[in-house]
Amino acid sequence: MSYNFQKKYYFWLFFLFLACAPDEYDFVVTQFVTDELKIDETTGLQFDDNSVYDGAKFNIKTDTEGKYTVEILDLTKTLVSRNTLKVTEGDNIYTIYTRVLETGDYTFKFLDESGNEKQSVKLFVK
Amino acid sequence: MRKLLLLLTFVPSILLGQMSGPTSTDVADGEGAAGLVWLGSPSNANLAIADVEVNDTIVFGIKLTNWLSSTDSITYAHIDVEYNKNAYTYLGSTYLAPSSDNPQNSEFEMTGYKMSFNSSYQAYSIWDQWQNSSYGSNTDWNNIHLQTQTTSGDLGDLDYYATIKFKVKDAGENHDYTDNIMVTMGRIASDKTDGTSKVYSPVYAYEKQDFSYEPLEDIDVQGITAKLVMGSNIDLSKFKLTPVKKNADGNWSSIISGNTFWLDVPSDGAVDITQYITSVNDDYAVVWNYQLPVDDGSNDFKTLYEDILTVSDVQLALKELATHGAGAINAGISKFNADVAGATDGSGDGQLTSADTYKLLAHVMGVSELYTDYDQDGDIDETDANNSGGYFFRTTDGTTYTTTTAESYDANGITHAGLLTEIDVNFSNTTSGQTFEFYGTWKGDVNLSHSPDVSSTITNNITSISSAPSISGRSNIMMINGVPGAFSTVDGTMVVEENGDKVIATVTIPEGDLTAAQIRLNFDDTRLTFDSVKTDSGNTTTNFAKLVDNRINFGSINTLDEKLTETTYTVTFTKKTQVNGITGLVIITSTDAADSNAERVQLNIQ
Repeated sequence: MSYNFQKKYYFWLFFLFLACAPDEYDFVVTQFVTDELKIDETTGLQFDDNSVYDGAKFNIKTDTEGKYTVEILDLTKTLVSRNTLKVTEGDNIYTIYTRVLETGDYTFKFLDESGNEKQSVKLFVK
Repeated sequence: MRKLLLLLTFVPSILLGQMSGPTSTDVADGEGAAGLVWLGSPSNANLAIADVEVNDTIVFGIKLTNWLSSTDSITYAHIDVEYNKNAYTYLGSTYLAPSSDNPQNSEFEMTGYKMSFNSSYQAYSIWDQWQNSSYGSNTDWNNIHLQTQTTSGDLGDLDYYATIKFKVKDAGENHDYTDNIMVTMGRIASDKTDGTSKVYSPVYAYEKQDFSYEPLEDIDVQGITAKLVMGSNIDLSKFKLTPVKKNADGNWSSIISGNTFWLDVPSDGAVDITQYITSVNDDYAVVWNYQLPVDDGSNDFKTLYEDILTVSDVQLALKELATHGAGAINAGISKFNADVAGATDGSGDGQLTSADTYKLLAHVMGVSELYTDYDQDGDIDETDANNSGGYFFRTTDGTTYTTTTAESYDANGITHAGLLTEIDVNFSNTTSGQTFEFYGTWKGDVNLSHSPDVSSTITNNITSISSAPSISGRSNIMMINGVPGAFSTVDGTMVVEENGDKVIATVTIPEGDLTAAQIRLNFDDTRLTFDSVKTDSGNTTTNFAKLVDNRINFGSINTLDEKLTETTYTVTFTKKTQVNGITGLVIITSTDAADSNAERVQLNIQ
C-alpha cells in the first residue's frame, strides 16, 4: 500500500473507532483501606487503633450514601462535640483530631441522618 | 503581692547545725584518728541536728580510725573533748569495747579549763596538740578525758569506742555557739604482745572534730495544722503552702530555705507545720497559693478563673443591685466577692454598686478583665492572668464565712485575709493538736460556685453548683449531671459542619426563662483559624465574644432581665490546612446560664 493510502486508511479507521465509542465511562473509585481499617461486613465502624491519637483514622462503612453525625461524649456522658460527615456507599476513611481533647475516655457515637445510633464505641484518647 | 513573694524568697532565719573537720587530704598521712559522730538523741537516733531544742539530750559517738590496721590494733585511746558549759551539761559516757577484750575504762573531767591550741600545729592534729599545747583556765568551759585500754581486739573496729551525752541549754541571746563541743587532743596506741607499744603519730580529729549549733527553743506543741476549706470542685492539691514568720521590721519571711520554700497541700487541705514553729516569741503565718508561688510557666489560674466568674455571677450581682438588696443575695461572702470596684487601688470599696457589676460584666465579656499586672511589666497578659491566683484568693474563718449575712456585710464589712493567714499557736497546749482552719473563696465568685457552702440560713436565692471533680484543664461547669445544685436545666444543641474551606459550629439555645447564657469552645488552632461569632438574639440583649488563643468565649446577657429568645450562635472558622473530616476540631468546654430570677441554670448542650 502506498503511503497516502495507508494514511487515509488509518485516519478513517480511528474516526470510526471514536464514533462508535460510548460517550460516558463509569469509573469506580474505591478508597484504599488498610488492614487495620478493613471491615468485612457491608456496614460497620473501625478505628485504626485501640486508642485514639491526633491524626488517627476511622472507617465508616455504609450501604447507603448520606450524612452521618459523630458525637463525642466525655466520661460523664456530657457532649463535647458533634459534627457531621458525608458518607458514600462502602468505606469512608476519616481522620480524627484530638489536639483540643483532654486525655481520657470518650464515647464516639455515630448516628445516621434520621438520628438513629448506628455505632458507638468508647475509646481512650491519648 | 509581688513584694510579698519576693520577700518570701529571702534567706530564712533558721540556723542549721553543723559539724566540721579536716578533709581526707588533710589527714592522708595519718596513722589514726578520732572523730565525733552525731547519734541524735537517746530516744531518736534519727533526730536531725536542725530539730534539736533546748532541754533535749543529744548523743555523740567517738569513732576511732586505724590506718595501720594491717599491722597494728588500737588497744589504747585517750581522747579529750571540751564543751561550753553554758550551752551544754555533760550527762556521762558509755564505753563500748567488748568485755572479751578486758577493757579498762577511765575518765575524768576538768572544770573551768579551755584548750589553748598550739598554733604551730593544725588544731585537728590532736597527737601533736597533746604533746605541745595545754589547757588554760576558763570558767565557761569544761573538758572530759575518755580513756580505754584493752588487752585484745582493735578499738578501731568498733563503731564508737565511747558515746557521750549532753543536755542542751539556752546559753543566752548573744552566745556564740561555734565549736561548743570539740575534740581537742588525743593519744592512740597499740600494745604489742612483746611488751612494746606503738604510739600512733600523727593522730587526727577526723572526720568531725567539732559541733556548732544554736538550738531551737524548747517548744513541745504538737500537731500544728493549717487547713484550707474550699468548694468541692477545687482541687486542693493544686495549692502550695508557705510557712512564714514575722521579722523584727514587721515583714514576713519564708521559714523554708532554698528555691522550693513551700509545702505541697494534700487533697484534704490539711498541712502539718509543727516543725516550723520554733519559737514562742515569733509570729507565724501561712501563705496559700493556688499553684506555685513563683512563675515557672506552669501556672494556669486563668483556666480556673474562667469557670469561677461567669455570666451567672454577673446576673446575680445585677439582680441584687436591681432589687436593692431585696433578697437575691443573702450571704455576706457573696456580696464581698461581688465588690470588685470602687477603691482607688482597684479593689472593692465595701459596697455593691453598678461599678462592680460593670467590672464583673466587662470581665465575662472580655472587654476589660480583672487580672492584674502580676509581673509589673506594664501590661496585663496571659502570664499575669495565670499567676493572679493570689490576687483573687481570700480567706476568712469558718464562722465568718458561713454565717455573715448580706445585711451584716453592708453594715460592718467582713473580716478577712488574703492569701496570708496568721497562725496563733497556743504554746501552753502540749498535749493535743491545734488545727487552724481557713475558708477560701475568690473575688468575683458571687454565686460561690467554687467556694465552700454557707450556712443554710443565709444561702442565696440562687443555688451554688457543686461540680464534679475536674478533668485537668477543662471546665467543671458542664460536669454536673446528676449532681444536686443546679436550679434547673435547659437543653441546647451544637453541631459542627464542613462547608468548603469553612468549618461552622452552630450552637442553639431554646427560648425559655433564660436571661443570660455563656458558652466556651476550644478549637484546633493548628488546623483552623477563627473568623467570627454571629448571633440572632433580641435587640435588648448584650452579646459578647472573645478569642483567647484557641478558646472562644461568647454568649448573651440581658441586663434588663428580659428573657432571651431562641438564640443561635454561628461560629465560623477557616481551614488552615487540608483536613479529612472535622471530628474533634471544635469542642465545647463549658457553659453557664442564669434565669430571670438570677438563679443559675445548667445549660446542657446536646
